[in-house]
Amino acid sequence: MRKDGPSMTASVTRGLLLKRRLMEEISCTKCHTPILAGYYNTPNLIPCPSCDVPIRIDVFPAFSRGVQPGKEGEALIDDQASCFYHPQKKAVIPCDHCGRFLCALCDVELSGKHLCPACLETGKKKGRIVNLDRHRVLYDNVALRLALFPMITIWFTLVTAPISLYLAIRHWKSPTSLVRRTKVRFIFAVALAGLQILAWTAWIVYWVSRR
Amino acid sequence: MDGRAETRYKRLPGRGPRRGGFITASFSRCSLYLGDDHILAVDNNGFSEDYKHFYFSDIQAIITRKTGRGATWSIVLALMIACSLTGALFLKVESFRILFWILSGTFLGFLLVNIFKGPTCVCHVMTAVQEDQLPSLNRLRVARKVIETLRLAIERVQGKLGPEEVNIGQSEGTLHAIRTAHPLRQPNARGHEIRHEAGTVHRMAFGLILLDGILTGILLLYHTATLTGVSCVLTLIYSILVIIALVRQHESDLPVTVRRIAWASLGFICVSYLLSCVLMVTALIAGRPEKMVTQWDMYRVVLDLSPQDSRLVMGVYAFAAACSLVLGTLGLVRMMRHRDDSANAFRVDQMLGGKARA
Repeated sequence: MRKDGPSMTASVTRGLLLKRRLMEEISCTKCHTPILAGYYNTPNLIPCPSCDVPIRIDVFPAFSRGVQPGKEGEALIDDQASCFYHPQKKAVIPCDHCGRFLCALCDVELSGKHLCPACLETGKKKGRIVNLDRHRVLYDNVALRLALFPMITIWFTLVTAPISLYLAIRHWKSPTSLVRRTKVRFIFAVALAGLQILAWTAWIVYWVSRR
Repeated sequence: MDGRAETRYKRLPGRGPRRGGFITASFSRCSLYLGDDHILAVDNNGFSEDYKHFYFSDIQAIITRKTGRGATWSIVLALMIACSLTGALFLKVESFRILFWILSGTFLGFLLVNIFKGPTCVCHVMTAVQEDQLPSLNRLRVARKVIETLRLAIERVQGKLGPEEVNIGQSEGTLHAIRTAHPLRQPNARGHEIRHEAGTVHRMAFGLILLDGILTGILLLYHTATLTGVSCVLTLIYSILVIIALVRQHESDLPVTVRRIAWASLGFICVSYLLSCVLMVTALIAGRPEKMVTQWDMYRVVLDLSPQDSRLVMGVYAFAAACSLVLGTLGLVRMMRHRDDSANAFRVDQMLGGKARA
């Protein structure tokens, strides 16, 4: 009994800690009442203990892992390679972009790549790291709508067609949606705006020649 | 930097607006895409897109909750169809009739689509640092399908979670006790303290309602003015008790069924007061008001009202008796269960506390 003591205590403590985590963190999205572990990963919806709303909770192993502690750079010993940013720290990996040596603290892993903070910052600013993109303007959509919708009134196209054409040409190479990458909208916008400009030119020429 | 390397995304079923209320003012449509190592939630408003990446290695849980939005829309659409059909069938102007037939057809189309899509739901994805809604998963059928796809992808990265991993350190007895104790409300995650409510006032109110139901049942068969008076006093007392109970059940650990019964009791009290007023006015008018000199004369007339006198009184008494019996019995039974649950929860705490001390 005494022999099993520490392991049993550890198991119970772990269980209690996990129970506390479960009770604190997964709760009904309607009444916010914590839901116990017995209700996880059920094949069907089950009523919430508090508000009776049918609910299903799919839990994955990351839940029991919790938040991983951050890494600390190891101190430099003798003639080991040092971190570019922290000369007193031991280098563990080079930056995949600039090749600078990085300690564990400076190493930022993103989609399997190891980057230094400076490259990460530059990449984010210049939109070179797709996974850091949070917002994109859809210039192709803007150009197409600007060419398409004003056709209802005809007269507006005198202004909107050149703007649409400008946007299409100016942003031809700008990054568009993350999930679709065709230029078809730009092509349609250019074609429509071009036709509108041609029509206006023809009409103006005709009007001037008649006078 | 080859972070620009193109990730091939596969579109997952479902699309829906990110809404703030029942009817959204937002034109943003959300969809979900499956990437190599993450899912991408895209909010598209036509001119720009906002992205949220949820990496498979970070996803801790997906929570699906069924909502009544679809059913509500079905009812609203059915009502609109009924109104349009009424217009189409009974209006005499031909052009209006055609318009209403078209409207009926349109609403019917929406209704059928709504029914075909199935029940609605709300999905949330949980990571270590956030819990975010996935508005594209707003139908239960689609949500199930997508979650199965995501489960495979997530388990490929994280591995499988065995039931023993979730229930680690909790013995079967403890788990069973927790499961049976589940109807008790736990401390609220919003920070509101949930206090324990023994439910004495509820028990007293439900007991009196049941007693009044029995009395009214007796009055249906054998009417006396004394019994009617006792019933009136009882009604007054349990009306006050129900109001106190409603105040006490706020932010308490009482089960939702008990709360609903308490609210239903309040509704019943309001209806019965209304019916009593109708009966009283009818009786006073029928009982020659010029002869009623004092207030006691008026009370005498009301107390002498017998169910055998008219069908209206009989109907009101029968309704009151049935409602009182049902509400009182249900409330008392549910309160007894609540007492058992409380005892069960206390046992669980004792067990867990004992283990922790060990």
